[in-house]
Amino acid sequence: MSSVTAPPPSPAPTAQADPTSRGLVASFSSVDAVLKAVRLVRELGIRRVDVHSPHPIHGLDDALGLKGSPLPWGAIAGASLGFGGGVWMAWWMNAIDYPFLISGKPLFSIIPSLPVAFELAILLAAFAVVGGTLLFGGLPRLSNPRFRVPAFSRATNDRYLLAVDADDEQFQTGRLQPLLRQAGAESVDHIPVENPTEARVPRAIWMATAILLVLALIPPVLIAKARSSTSTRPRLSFVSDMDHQPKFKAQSTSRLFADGRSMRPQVSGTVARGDLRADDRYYLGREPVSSDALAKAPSAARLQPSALLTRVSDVDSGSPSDQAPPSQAAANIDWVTEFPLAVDESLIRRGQQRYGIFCATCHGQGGEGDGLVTLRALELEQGTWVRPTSLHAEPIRNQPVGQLFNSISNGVRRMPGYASQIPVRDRWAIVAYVRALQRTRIASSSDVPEDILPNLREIN
Amino acid sequence: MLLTRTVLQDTLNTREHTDMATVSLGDIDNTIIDPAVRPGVMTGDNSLASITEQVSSLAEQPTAPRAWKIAFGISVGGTLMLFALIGYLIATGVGVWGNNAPVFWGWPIVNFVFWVGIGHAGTLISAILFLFRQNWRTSINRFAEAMTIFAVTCAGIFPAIHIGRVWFVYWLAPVPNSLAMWPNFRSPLLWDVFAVTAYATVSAMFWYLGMLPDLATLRDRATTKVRRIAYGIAALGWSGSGRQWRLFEKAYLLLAALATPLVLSVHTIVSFDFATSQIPGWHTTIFPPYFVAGAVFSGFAMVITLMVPARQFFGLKNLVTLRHLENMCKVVLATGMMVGYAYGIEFFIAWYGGNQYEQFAFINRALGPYAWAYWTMVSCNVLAPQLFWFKKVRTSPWAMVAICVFVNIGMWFERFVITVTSLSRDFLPSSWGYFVPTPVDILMFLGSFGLFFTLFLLFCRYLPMVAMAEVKSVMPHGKDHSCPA
Repeated sequence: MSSVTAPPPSPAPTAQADPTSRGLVASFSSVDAVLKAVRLVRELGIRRVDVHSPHPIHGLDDALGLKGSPLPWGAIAGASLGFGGGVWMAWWMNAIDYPFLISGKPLFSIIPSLPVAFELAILLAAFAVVGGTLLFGGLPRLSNPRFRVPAFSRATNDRYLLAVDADDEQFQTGRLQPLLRQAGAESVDHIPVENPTEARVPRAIWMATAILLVLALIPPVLIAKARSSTSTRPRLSFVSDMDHQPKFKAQSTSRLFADGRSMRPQVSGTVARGDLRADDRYYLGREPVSSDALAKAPSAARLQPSALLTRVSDVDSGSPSDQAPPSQAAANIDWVTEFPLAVDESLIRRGQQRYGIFCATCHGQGGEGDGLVTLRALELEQGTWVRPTSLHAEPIRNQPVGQLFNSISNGVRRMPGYASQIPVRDRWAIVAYVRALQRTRIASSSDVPEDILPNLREIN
Repeated sequence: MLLTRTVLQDTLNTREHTDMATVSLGDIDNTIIDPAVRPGVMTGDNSLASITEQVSSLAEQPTAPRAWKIAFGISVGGTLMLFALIGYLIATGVGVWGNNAPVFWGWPIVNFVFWVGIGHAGTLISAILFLFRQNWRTSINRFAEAMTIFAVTCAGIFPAIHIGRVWFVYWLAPVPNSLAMWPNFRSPLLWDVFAVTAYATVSAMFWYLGMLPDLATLRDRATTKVRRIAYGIAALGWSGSGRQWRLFEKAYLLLAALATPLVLSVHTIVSFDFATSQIPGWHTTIFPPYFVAGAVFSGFAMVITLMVPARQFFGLKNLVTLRHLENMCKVVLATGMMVGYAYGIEFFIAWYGGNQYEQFAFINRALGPYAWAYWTMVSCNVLAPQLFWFKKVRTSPWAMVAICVFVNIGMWFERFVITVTSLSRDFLPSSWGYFVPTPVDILMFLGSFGLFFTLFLLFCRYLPMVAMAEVKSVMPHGKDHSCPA
């Protein structure tokens, strides 16, 4: 082989056109001998010459006139493609096509995409190198006429074979044979002309391969069909206990229990841990109701005791409301006026913090009913929004603590109940804080401890 | 290969003044280090033909030796057990393992890291030693590369079945799916998928490309039609022409240059699986170099463990010489010291960093319920290799096998200690637990050895165990030509 393209063979008068020969193969036992022979042959102007050896021969490239290699460029191209592809996937897949919001991190940043980009760069560069080796090395090539020369089998063992192609325009068997022998060749053989039928892969193998390929296509085609069409039959489940797990879901039926329900009611006469809530002062913010009073209450209220307390609508400011008029029962509730737990500074601080989290968005940090959500809703002129009453308004200031607690728990007017979000103790903490907040607007300097008084300054 | 040529010329010039120029070396001891003399890669009287004959005949025996058959039978039994257990696992669910709150990463991940680590020596020997012109690697690189690929095969199985629903394994890859959702590129577990896949692919290509000339040798020596066709297809028509060798050498150099950062990156990324989490004992910046050193350590130990019996059994003592083994022992010693240093520095940082959770994690490792595992690890990994300071130990094959078996045990325990001790006692004492493996855990790990040895024995039986072409190219008469007369 040579980098010079041979012109089409011309019937030169000196060339011995031998139809049974595609060239000559000479066998040498040492590297020096074969390199010398290569130089001699190339001095004749023959370019289609190659050496087959059991190991790489250094110095052969020069002797054969081989220059340059496309492989490093392939590696650079593969590495660039892999690196760019890796970064692109991380960007397009996680930031554009399906944005992944994780812990408020940016949708795309370069550092976490580097490992994938790096691995892909190496992988694609390696593919390019191996692919290039096969492509430029003429591999795979399962039939090669040179393999039919018996001496050639030692080219992968312990001999160095020089092969000259008959296609070369300077090729002359008569001149080459003695020259090669003179250079120390152990043997010089003709390369037989390849019988096209022998060179071809047998028909049976082609057929078998074609049939196998077609058969291999059947499963993916069936899957594709199943995925793109509908069927009246239920889907196949290969691992059924993963698809149908033995568990009860909420509100489902069960044959395990006599009543047919999978959700189990409490055993009668028992109270679940933490559910007793016997202290009405603490849990409801009102004085205990005697069982007589409960018996006289309307039946609807008996069924749902909290109905006695919910949505105490318009007992506060007398502002217009779209709620139902206050029920007599609600208005006459005996709210506790003293905190049913010890109030200390840490409780008020806790209440301040909880107030900031749950209440201030609507009520405002100062309790004026000017929280950000309120301001925004009023700015948008939302007709359904009711501005919270200022916590400093006279009627609210006069409410007993139990009623404030109830308002937080069950809501009032448009305000929803927060019982499910704020634990009981925290609700009382908020009430304590609201009381402290209210004091700030009605207190006089005589209420301030003397040691703090000098620190106060007047603000407008 | 201009660079090679200069280096080789220098080498040759040195050698011409030594006995290497005359091939006959007899049974000289090539472990003696004399700076003026470059020791030979091989011992004994070798010619191109004798190398071919010696290596190829191992793959050409008409019937397998009895010992091979017994070993193969046991290994295939282990492999079948592994696959049966995988079938049981898939049909039943990952509950058959001991993984449970709080240790959700149990043996499967320990085994994964163990096998991936072993799979680092092959590419290290092939690529890094090649780039450093360490010619002695030529006798052992094929063997080590094969070991790499089989170890990575074993490694790949565990995370694949650990995902629970293996039929959704393609969700790991960025392929469009019915969820219209892509994998998370900020997750180290995804990086791991890419790293291990790329590593397995590149290692396999490196191995196969390097084997082409030797497969062609087996093809040309084939005496039966089946062998001729099988090796003929496998060799892809390699003819050893000048152009092919030129491409081959360039490709080999490029692949070595590509595989070197790859091999370092793979265990780095495996360590990210742990290091980017918040678990005390995992969240450490030392993990990448520590894991890479440990991987090289365990890989070389495994190469020695396998190489010593193989060279004995297959009569390769003249190709895989005592010097090879001694060099590998030195690598084991050096990487063992690095690993020991990492163990020490972890404690130092836990103290110096002042993080009480991290301090607890390390005190718990050394003194807690898994102290037995921790001290097994330290004894095997730090103390046992110290014997390699003695030349007598470094040059007695069976002693090094014993030490290397301990190293492999120690390195399995290292991964166990890292994975399990950290998870079993994290931030919340109420959720602490003690991990107990199930029989499935244990049998699967044993089964993975069955798979490893099955592949390895097949390799020994049917493929060229030593890179003949490479050995030939570092033989003296393979080089006579490098100064053209």
